[in-house]
Amino acid sequence: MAIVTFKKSELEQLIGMKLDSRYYKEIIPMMGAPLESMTNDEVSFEIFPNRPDMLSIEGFTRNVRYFLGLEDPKRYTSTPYKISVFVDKSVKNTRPFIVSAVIRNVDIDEDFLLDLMQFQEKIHETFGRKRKKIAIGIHDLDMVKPPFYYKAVGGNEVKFVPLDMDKEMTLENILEKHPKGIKYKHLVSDKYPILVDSENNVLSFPPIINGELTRVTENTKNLFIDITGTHLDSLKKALNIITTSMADRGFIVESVRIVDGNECITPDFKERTMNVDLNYIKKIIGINISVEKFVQLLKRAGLDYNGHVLIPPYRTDIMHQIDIAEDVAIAYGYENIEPELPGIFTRGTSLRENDFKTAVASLMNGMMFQEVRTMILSSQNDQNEKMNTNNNLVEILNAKSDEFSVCRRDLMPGILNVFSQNKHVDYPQSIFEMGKIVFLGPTETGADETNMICAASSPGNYSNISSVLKELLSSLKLKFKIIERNDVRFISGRAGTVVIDGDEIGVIGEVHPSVLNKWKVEKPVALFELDMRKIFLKMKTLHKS
Amino acid sequence: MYTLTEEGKKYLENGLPEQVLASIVKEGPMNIRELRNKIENFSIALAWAKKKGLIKIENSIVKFEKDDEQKELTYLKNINNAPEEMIKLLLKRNLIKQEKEGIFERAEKYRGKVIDNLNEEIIKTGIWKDVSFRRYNVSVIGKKIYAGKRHIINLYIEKARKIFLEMGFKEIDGTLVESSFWNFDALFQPQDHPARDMADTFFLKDPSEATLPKEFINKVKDVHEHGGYGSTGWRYKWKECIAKKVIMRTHTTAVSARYLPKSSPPEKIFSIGKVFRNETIDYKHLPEFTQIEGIVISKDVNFRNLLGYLKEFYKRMGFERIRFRPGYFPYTEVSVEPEVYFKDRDEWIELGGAGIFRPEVTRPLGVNVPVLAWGLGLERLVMLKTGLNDIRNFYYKNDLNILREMPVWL
Repeated sequence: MAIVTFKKSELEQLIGMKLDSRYYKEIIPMMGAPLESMTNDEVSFEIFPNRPDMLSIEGFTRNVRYFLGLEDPKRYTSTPYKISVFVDKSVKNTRPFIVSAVIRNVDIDEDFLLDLMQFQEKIHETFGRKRKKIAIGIHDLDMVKPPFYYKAVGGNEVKFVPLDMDKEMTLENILEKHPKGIKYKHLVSDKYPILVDSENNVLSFPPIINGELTRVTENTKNLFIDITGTHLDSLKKALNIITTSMADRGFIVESVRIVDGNECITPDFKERTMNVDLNYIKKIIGINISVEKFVQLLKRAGLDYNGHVLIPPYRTDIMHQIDIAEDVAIAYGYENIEPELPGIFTRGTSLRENDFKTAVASLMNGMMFQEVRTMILSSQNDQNEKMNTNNNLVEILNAKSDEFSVCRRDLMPGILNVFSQNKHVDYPQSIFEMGKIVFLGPTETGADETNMICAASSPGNYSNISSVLKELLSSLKLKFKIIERNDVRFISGRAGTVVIDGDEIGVIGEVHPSVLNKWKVEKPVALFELDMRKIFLKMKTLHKS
Repeated sequence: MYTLTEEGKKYLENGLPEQVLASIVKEGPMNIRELRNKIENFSIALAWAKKKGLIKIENSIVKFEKDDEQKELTYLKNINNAPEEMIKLLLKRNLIKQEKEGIFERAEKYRGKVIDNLNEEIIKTGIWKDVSFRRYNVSVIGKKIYAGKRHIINLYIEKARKIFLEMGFKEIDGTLVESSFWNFDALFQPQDHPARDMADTFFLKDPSEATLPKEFINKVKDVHEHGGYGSTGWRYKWKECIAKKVIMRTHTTAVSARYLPKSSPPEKIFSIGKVFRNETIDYKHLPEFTQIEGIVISKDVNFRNLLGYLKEFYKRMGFERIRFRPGYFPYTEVSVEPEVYFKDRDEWIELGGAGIFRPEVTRPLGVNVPVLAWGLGLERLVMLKTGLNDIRNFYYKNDLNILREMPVWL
């Protein structure tokens, strides 16, 4: 989730009008940018991943101006190229693509630099997939001598002074010692991509760090932008987003020639066209609008129309006419679309297994058992060590905490945890849970699941809990037997397997004091745990008349 | 209440047989055969006289030893003053019997009294007409008791189920462990989408690889790589091995995705279940929470209808004010985030996401009509409705003090 923060004064200056809090709280969010927070001076919005063009203050305010009808969609142009970037074959296996642009006659102040840094960081994080897909370098053009060369070199072949350092470092050194090197070194390996000028001065070591040499300051007059990455389409979009933002500031965008065997001029500001069926749009939204209204709504979304919809170069998200439909709906205003239930007849049908759970819960409540709801995710420690068992569990690869690194195999540990967490609460405590457990099994995913019920009393004994079991199963018209079992979780001679019609459906017993000790439970616990799906199936087969 | 037996009455009149015996021999020793003729109940008289040590027998001659000090006769006259030991003795000698008292006699003792506890005798005999009842301080409440209740989250789940069933929806269920294919790829989420990061999704170590549905692999791959059905697609190289990765489902939308190929429109479907995100635990986040999923599949539905369903659901959940804000999800377009208004906090709260499934989702799965879809959060709604502000209390700890105090009428 990308949150951008803007100075209100700057925002309102770029929009060209004063905005009261209603605009921030109610109008701009309806454009598709929820308000995150607001102070006297600053305002933060969430920018959705499909709109990286709104990560920059220029792109954001441009869309607000369209949305409010302050401006019609603009066209962008660039001046012919003067500068070339030559791409060496050696980058093919590292970071194969580069696109570039030059921005002339820039007028830079502190606010602009801060905005630019935020934009760069946010686009790296989101659209750039943490620099893996896209990394942007912005340079003071006048500190270096074109043409530029993009190539891959060995880790010790080249030295330069990286940003925020005062001495030359080799690429290897940067990866080991520079904070950005440490953070992003997993993105490069073997040969490292660098961008140099005609005199071998290093502009950048993408996607890690730029050179100190081309640092952008308030004195910078001309910018050189490089974008490198793994997905050419995305690079071009990112370049369009950044250069149109610069153009909105009134700066001049100059093309750059990229030579990599073929020749290509970037950026490319040509609009994409899309055929859109107005009837489809009206039908899918459920509104009735004329062609004129449609064209007007398109403009509010920043889209031009000449029989086809013209998609501006900074839009990355439009794949299908349904995307145009959404833009039209937003421009129309969700608040103007009156909700309406359609008259489609269908039968309401519940899952019988869920109805069964409701019936069982009502019975357990009648026996004064309080329902609890513990978590599916658990730990080896809770599921095995603290239960004296060693079961195979469904295991998570990348859990942030050991506490949630496996799926529960039984409900019992969760139930004991509830007793352990509630020692300050009035006794007796009788609780039950109905929920899913997960175990290894021959399914599509390799994991199987079933619903269990576990009921427990503390202080409790075998006699009492067996009465509860008897009442539960009798009320379901099921005959059962209890066969003594050896089970390290229970006191020997006080544990049984519950059997219905020859099939094991669960266990019952008094929990072993060694287990209670491990859970720090101080009063005796008696419980049973049954497979509800098996019981449900038994009821289906045995009660069929 | 005791009364004398016939035997008791006789002894009261004539004296106890052993005392009669003792008084005879006190006047001079006597042969046992001679004595037998002088005394009624001779064997009883002899046995008790010996037992009490009143006499001594030598060569068939009975001699006086001492007077009887026990006071059976005294107590036979006034049996209700007898000490317990004496009662036992007299019962044993069958001189007295316990009187079976009638309910009316028993109830007599209440007549004219101030009664504490009303009982069966008082009610049945009608003696209540002649008693008065002690006045209670009716504002004093008895000892605290605890009902067995449903867990508050499950009460809300039941409520949501009921709402959708009343609106003609069919309930379905799916698994918690899911393949990336059904959770992401079938929902047109590109394989490098941030939601598919290790930082957000729980991937499984064991099991780690799922079997994919052969009939859909290529269709889904094509739509990601090149689009189709009027779409450009994402334009990247789709990899089967990434789709095979086994995960904890991140949304119940995976359940809907699996249902789409089986559907026969028009249909209205819902499911409610746990979903998982790789988060650490704090007062408002847990790595698992509950989602309410719904889809409506019909050639005749549109975005306006989607808003209709959302509004109806939240209205029935008790929210009068709802607004709709544009949202973004990779698998829906037109997308919307419904927000409900909380009076107490004077705030609009976002509780879920919704939209129309993209054609890139529905077409490869064989559905060629609009599908309205939503995935609504439950825990946040319950927290706001109940005023609970720490999710750990009712999930992780299950604080029984809190659960026992929860309302059951929502």
